[in-house]
Amino acid sequence: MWGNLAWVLWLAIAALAPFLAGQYLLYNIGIVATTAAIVSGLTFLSGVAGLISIAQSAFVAIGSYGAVLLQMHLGIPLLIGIPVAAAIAGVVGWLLGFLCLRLDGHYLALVTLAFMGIVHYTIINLDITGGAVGLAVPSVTLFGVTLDSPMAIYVMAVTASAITLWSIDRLIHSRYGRMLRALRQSDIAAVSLGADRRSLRTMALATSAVAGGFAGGFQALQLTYLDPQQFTIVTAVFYIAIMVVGGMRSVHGAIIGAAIFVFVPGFLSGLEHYMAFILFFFVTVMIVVMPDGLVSIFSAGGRLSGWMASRHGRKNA
Amino acid sequence: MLSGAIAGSVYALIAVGLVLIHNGTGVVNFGFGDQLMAGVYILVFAQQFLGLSLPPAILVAVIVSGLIGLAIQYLVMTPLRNRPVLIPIVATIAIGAALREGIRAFMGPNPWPVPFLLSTSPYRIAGISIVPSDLAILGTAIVVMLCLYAFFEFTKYGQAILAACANPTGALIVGIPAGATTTSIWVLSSMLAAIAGIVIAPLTSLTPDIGLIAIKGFAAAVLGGFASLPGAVVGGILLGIIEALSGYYVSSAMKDIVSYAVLVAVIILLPSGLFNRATARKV
Amino acid sequence: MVTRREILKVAGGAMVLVATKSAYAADATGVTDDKIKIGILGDLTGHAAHWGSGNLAGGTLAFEEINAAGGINGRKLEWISVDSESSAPKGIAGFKRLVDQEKVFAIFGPTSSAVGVPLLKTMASSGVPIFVPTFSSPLITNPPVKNIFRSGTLNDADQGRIIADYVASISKKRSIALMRQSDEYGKNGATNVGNRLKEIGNVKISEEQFNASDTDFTSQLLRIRESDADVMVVYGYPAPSAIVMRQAKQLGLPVQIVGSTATASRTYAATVGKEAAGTRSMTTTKYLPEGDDAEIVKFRKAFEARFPELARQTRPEATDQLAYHGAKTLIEGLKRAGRDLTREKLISSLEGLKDFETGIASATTFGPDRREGNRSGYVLEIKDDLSRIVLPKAYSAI
Repeated sequence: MWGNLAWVLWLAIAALAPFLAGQYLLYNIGIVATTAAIVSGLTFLSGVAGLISIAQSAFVAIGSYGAVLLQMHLGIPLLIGIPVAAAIAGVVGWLLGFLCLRLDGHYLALVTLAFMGIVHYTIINLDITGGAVGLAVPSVTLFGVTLDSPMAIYVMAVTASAITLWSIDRLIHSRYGRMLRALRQSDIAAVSLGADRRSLRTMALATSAVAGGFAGGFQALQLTYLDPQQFTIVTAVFYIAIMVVGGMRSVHGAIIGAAIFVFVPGFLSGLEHYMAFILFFFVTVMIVVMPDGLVSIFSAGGRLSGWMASRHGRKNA
Repeated sequence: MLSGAIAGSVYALIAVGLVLIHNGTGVVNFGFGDQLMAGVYILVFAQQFLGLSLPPAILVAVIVSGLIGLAIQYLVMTPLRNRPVLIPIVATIAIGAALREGIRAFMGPNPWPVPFLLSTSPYRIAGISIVPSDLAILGTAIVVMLCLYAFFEFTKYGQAILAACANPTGALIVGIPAGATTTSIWVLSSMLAAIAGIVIAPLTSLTPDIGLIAIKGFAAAVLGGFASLPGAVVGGILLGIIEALSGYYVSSAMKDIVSYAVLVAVIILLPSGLFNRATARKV
Repeated sequence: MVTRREILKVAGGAMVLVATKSAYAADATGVTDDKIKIGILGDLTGHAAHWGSGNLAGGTLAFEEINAAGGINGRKLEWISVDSESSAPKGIAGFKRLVDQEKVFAIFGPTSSAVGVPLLKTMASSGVPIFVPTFSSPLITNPPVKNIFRSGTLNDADQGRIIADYVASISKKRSIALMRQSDEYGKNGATNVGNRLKEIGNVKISEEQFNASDTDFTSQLLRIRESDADVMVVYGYPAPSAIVMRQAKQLGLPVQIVGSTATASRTYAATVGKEAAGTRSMTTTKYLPEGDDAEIVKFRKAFEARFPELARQTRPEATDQLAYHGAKTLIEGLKRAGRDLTREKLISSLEGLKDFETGIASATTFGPDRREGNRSGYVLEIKDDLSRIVLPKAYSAI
């Protein structure tokens, strides 16, 4: 119920921003949207399926570098290239999952950590990716019109993010999502429902990779430049932090988390060098006080879900 | 090879600290690298601003680092103990970032020189040049491991911690309070972080980002199965040697890719690490 | 504030270009009767804070001094600092905040390649005069962009060329080892050194790479020892460079070590230890922040008095020095632009600067198609007591 209200609020902000916000605010809202969409993949993987991936930034890299390279070398327009690259990210995610999810779920964290490292160093060492120098992102052209104004980029990025977020939200509430949740809470119960643990989890990883690659491709349009330093283990871990601070049970948590990390530094800018220290200090406090994420403030069911989370304890790591 | 073993012994120290917390509490401590960094900055602070000489400064650094561990356990980990494990893990990320950025603001972003424990002038023995400061790294690592081994093997308290790691409910039944063991694990591991930092920092020069080296420690821990202390030690040294060899035979730029690829292969082919977890759990 | 109709036009077609073009005409945004508003953009937090911190400190000091001296053509400077957090998205957001929300007249920064290069497109289309004092990616000034100027720094392309000229002149065996970091910084630098050496000809080059986070460089150094190089160029960040130099001495490599400008900082020798003795580094200027040149002494005293908490971190550093120098150069441009200040006028007055000296760092020369203020460098040497001297000969990249 309140979830629908939240959707109305997000869509209203996204739709009204172009008319009310200045360029700075508009850009930041766009970044919140794409970041939230990237993180929503993790929400599905961690919040629903109970798996940890430290490779979301690698899938973002595959989506964004993939789309730009497809355009540069094969002439595939970016708006087609991004979904194609996202699909590639999904296949890679599926393969990773296929290889290691026959094991206990917590190996996924370790394999994805290593995979993230491999992707980062591969980008730096290949010539085609521009190596350590990086790549400029070309402009999108549609029917001969170049869409490189901040407004056009905003519209594209926010639309793509909305599609991603909404799809993930639907998946969370689908039968597939329910089975993954059941699997997280009790393997035996889920298997007795006819769930194939390995293939379900592998698909969850692939889904999260597609979300990361797709939203990442659109974020590349906003950034206009791909630098390998944007795709490291540190940024991957950062996405996890965004998810937890916002709340890992719904896509609204991803949106709130992304908004915190995009906007709060601006409010704290008077602290100069101490800004990041204060920011992370409060993030720590927030995690301790609101372990279900900021989203739990708004949710009447927050207490209940918190109670449920503590009930099944650490099993879903 | 020797240089690989030296880098590896640093990875091993980090890996041991990580595995200790992971085994005892289920939490993967992503703030470990930052705790390591903070330990060295405390040393530098004690030396430069409190005027202490090196040995007492080291002592101060290790003790304060242990206190940070205590604070993390009481203020953050205890309230989160019944949450899904991802929550305390993310809390360690946030704690680490707060430590890192707090120190960057207070001590500045520019590098600080850190004194070596022993001389950096090489000796030539039988045609091999040996650098005392490198030996200090290796030596410290070995001594620390031996102390840990002795602690876990021969003291009642160490045995109790191990028991609690292996079987929290069982330990509770025989009267070992779970809170006490997790607290000592956090303190012990945080002190290890400071020691690892003090050993590595003179080599690299100290900046707030020195903690990134902990990523190698994670890799080492994985190589060792992420569940056993001896596994972590061997994993660390093995990683150091793999890096050195791939740096020499493949290419320096590719060596990180090679190490990570080895890592993925190990996890997929030998999921319990290079050492069987069941036997390794003992220590 | 932009009106709704304007926004709709943007949404309908590409109008931004027109908007920025007309913005050039007589744009005096951020200038009032008694104030000029400047934005300081730099990394204050995160891994690149080293440069941003210097940018803010050096800029603040110079701006406060000119205000205390009565300001510029009857106006005082007012400035606002934005943190780009060592991240490209935050850098773009910070830039938009300064331009769109704070409506500054000009921008001092950004401070790192990781932020500056991704920001290039946004900066170029904004038309706002941008004055960069610190980082060294050549992409910022080549090809030149009308509104982007840089002073003080020796860019990586020029630096590579100068290093090549220098090492070719001291290598007796005509064999040079290039030990470079694997990222953009090392790649740019090494490519430029290599290209210039090929131009010079008759020089053997052996190249090795390392990652910035490495701690052991033995395998690369052993290969270099197997070559017959008598000069080794180390092109990387200070931390790995320090280990490379120390391990090279420990392994007894018979080479003269020459580091990039990244190793020309005040605390660098101490981080290497006694092995630093005899090593040389490229530096952008003949003035050392700890030196006794008149202007430098004045700057150091003022800096230490103004920022005691930075002074205890062995600052001012090279970054503070370059930023102070850059801010003084920007102030000169503002002075010469006259009372009737517009963005266009600032750009043309900066273009008119020729051999402008601050006594803090190397002279600045701009021109209609020149945006790189300094194109020369010096070599500094670390003495046995780890003090530093700058060798007298200047090397030019032109």
